[in-house]
Amino acid sequence: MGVKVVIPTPLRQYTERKDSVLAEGRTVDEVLRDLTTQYGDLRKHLYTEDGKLRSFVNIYRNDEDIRYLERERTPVKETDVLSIVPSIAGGCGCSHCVFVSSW
Amino acid sequence: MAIELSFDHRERIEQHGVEAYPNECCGFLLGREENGSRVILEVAPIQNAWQSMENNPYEVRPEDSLRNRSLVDPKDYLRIDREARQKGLDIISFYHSHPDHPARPSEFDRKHALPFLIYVILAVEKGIPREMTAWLLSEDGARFLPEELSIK
Repeated sequence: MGVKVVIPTPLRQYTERKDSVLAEGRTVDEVLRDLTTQYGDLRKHLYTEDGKLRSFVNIYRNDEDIRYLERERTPVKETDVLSIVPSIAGGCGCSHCVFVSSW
Repeated sequence: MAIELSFDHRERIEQHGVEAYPNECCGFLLGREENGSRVILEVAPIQNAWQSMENNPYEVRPEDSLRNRSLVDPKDYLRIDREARQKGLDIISFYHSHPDHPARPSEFDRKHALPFLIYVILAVEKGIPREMTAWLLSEDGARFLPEELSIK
């Protein structure tokens, strides 16, 4: 079996377009390491070069953000669902626009 | 890849942009890929969490506010994504407004953009909705490429 990991649409191109996959492990860290072993192209999107989980990547165990649990050491069972949730933001600012305002 | 919206969807996004003015609004567009197009079937507005979220992972400058930034609370992403999946839909686009600014992606937009998602931007000028555009991040992440936005 394994733990179900839900893949967000922006990352499915790295999981053969699957919207969820199974990965083995007893902690969040073990499951994500197994996931990125199965799907190597995912690694750089989840981890920094020195192997830390990226700050723009949020991991939920069921309904809980692992930052409020035990972070990557958070235990998981096969009945749990891990969700990878990307941070998304947008915005504008006159001095930061790529294009010059025509207004 | 073109993105297709109905007139109602466009109106819903415009309404959201007007309601939020002079702040930015944001939300997701849910749908499916059909025949090489992204077809939008539902608009999912969300609250701009720029000032309310506990763990804002982005750089916050003194001049930044809801007027020039929009942020999705990951809890909202999780909720909308679950609802979409139950309906057989996917999150395929993120929209936000640019109050009193053109519908062109900013450097902030590009720097923090994700692959695959189409970024729809609505310009709202003095409270009136204006141009709506669509953009996709290039594969190398270096720039935004304009996408065809088709209203049917």
